[in-house]
Amino acid sequence: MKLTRILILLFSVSTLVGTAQQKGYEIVNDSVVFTFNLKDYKKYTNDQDGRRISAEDLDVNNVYLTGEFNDWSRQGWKMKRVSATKFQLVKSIKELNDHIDWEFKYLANQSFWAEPDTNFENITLSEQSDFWNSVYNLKLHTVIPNPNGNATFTLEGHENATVVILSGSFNKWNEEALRMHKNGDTWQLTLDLPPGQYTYKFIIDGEWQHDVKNPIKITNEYGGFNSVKEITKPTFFELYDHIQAQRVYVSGTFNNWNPEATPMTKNGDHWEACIDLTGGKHQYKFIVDGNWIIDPDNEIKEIDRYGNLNSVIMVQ
Amino acid sequence: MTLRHLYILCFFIILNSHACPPAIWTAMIGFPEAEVLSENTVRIPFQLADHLIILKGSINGQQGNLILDTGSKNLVINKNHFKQRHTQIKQGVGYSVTGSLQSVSAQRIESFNFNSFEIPYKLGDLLDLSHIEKNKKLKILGVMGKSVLYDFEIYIDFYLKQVTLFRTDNVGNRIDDHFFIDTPTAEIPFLDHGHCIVLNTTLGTTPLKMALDTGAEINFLDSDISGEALKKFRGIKRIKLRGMGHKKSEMLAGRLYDLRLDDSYPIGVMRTILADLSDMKEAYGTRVDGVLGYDFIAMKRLLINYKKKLITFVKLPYKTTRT
Repeated sequence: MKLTRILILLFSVSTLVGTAQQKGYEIVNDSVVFTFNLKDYKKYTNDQDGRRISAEDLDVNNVYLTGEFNDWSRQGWKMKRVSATKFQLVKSIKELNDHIDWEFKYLANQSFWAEPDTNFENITLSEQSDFWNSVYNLKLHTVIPNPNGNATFTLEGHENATVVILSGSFNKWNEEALRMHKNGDTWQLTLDLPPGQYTYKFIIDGEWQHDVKNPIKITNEYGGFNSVKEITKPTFFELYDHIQAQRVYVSGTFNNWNPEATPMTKNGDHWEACIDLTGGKHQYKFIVDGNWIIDPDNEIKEIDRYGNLNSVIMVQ
Repeated sequence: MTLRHLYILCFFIILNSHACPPAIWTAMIGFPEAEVLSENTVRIPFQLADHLIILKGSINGQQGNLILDTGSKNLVINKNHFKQRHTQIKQGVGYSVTGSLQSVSAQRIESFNFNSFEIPYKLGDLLDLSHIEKNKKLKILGVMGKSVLYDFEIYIDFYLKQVTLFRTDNVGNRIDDHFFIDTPTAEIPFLDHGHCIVLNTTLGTTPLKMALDTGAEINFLDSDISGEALKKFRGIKRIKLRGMGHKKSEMLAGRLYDLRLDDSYPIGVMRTILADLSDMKEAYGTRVDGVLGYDFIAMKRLLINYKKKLITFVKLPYKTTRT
């Protein structure tokens, strides 16, 4: 059997000169502050006929935020004017954590698309681009550095590196979004991640490298290694109605069902214990003076392979 | 500041003159993170890749991920990881939510294994799934479709983020029924047309047949439905989408209001794409008026039973607060 294949490879090489910046939004605590600054945009595209006009030729009266997160709605997300040149809209990050990356754009006067240029670091080529004309959308990354976060990534050495990127399963292996900061002879970045297991690597001046200081690693599909980081969350267990008991323990999949590994302490009218748990499902039971019982205040239950009925908690 | 684009088109012609002798390929599919309850029941945790349900699995020892897809007929094997040196038993049927199909070859899969239980003689299609891998940044070994799932009641639980497979008897009863202890809230019958789960729904006053497809990342509605029913769709933007067959098509994205299941159970507003689905008969094996995908199943707990032709919705837990 003869098989003929024709492969068409398309290479795109782009050169950026100067220093671009993340613009168009800022993540503050649990909110995304979208900001449209008139000074950032030099060109607008008419939605009706596709013609471009200069910013000087447009008097912007209102601005709408449109993007993948609102199905590019042109009416729903109106921005509030906060100064002569700025419009803002604040959204909870919970509304946007469905995806890691979102494309968006600002629409002025409900008819003119504000065109970001290469002064924006967070741009991505739009579907509207063709061979002769580059059109950009703005890009929002919901995973961003957070100095108060729960996951610090450190790379020692590489003092002469120019750019070090942190990339992993937490940001869909984005190769640009998370630049690490040089701090003496180490590179560092802190994120705030939901509990769970994540794989990651460093990109040191374009070269991928796993975290050699982290012994926990898995083999990836390319035959190399991905480093593994486990993020846990303090999880509280409480048992009421057994205040006369002498000893109470909590036992579950998280401590291999060890009956005495996690004693609970009496606190007023209940027993309690706090355990750092990784993300996902955990089965557990309480042991009250030697008797195994399910959590009476938790309606989520499962039967295990041995026929035991256990309580279930989801950590996320 | 300047921006330059350099486009280079390179054409390569690769000639391959190897013949493929007929052979039977045994595929052993495992789920390393599964909780095997018995030889008839298994719980498999899932993760979401955007809006796809992904199960960690292995095929013949190769580790990766599998997509749970009730819109697919067979077990689809990603030919990127399993080279086509095995026999082509027949030309199978392709599928794609955007309609563009590619030639699909089928292989005989001898056994299917969840650690301790097997499903013999499944047909698997060989398809290039590299565009999904590239988009999701995940190694995708394959797609689990109807022929894999048929002998089980499939419990998709978005609360516990797990899929439980209950093996069923000839009439669809769970063999190990005692492992199911949750509370059903509604039962909706479906039609088993083609290889597709077809639900009777009502949009406003117009009856529509909608496919339930766990592999569809967004809902679809046929642009050919009646004008009265189309009033319940509010278009927002023209977009381009890519399906299984690589080709991009332009469609209208918007929101669908007032859809009810079985003329009784209202469903909330759902993000939906209006498109010409006339070519989808080949994809689903039957003509449908639309596709209910992620927006329909997300955050629900539901059971799919192919033998009883029944969808069962399960009560979502609520957190009790002690006062």
